[in-house]
Amino acid sequence: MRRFWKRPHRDPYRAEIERLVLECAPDARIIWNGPALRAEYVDRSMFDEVGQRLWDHRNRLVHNSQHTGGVSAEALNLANSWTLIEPEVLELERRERALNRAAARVATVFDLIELLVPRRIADEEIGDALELIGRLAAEGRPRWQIYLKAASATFFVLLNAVREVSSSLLGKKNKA
Amino acid sequence: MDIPITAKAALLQALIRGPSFGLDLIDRVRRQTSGRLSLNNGSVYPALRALEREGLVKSYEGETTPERGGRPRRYYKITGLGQKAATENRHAAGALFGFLAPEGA
Repeated sequence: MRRFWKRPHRDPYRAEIERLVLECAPDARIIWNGPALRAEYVDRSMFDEVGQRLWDHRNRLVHNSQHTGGVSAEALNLANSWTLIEPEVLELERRERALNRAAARVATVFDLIELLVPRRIADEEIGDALELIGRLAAEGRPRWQIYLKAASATFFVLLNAVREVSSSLLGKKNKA
Repeated sequence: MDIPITAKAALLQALIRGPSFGLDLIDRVRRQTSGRLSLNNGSVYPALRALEREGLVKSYEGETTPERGGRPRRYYKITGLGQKAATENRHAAGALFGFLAPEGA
């Protein structure tokens, strides 16, 4: 069963390219970015076959153009720019986006916590926690590790802020 | 098994190798002990501030980076008093575990 169902494109040139891709890779998701085709979920084993079909199509357009009254620049442009993406790469992209979103959410929470704690603690502890979370995200660690690290950092930032404020208040009281 | 050593003593030994900031100090201690000692974020910062209050380290603000949301790093540098305390710590621990002869022996 096809993963994505898509009505064929109204433009006959694009519809033809879509047909060529979908015949080899029926699960593919077709996305047009201007004249550039991006076919997602194409299995790696089909890359050569899809590539060959698109190349043959492009060659037919160029070499038969004398008999058909010339190929339009638009049609040639469409046949020239295409990218095939295998499911594994899409999964990596999805994970990276999810990790970046998690890191951005954590940064927003830290920005709010920053309002409650002394500046030195905010700069030092929240800054270090954000740097560490950025490293975890770059290493591709699971999201739960990022949220766990953020939760523990929040707990210690608040605890250390209370300690710091209470010790400075006690210090002032003792001096008085 | 946790190594029974205080965060302050470990940080002082790590700072002998040069100025650094909290996150890097945690890594440095882990590397220096081949992963046997892992300091907790929650204990490192209070320990560093306590060392500063005792005059064993000095701190200063460093560069701001986008990964830190524009917040500056706080670097710590060991003082002369800190160097002396770190050396004494090392001698005491060495003597205790039998690596070094006790001072004056």
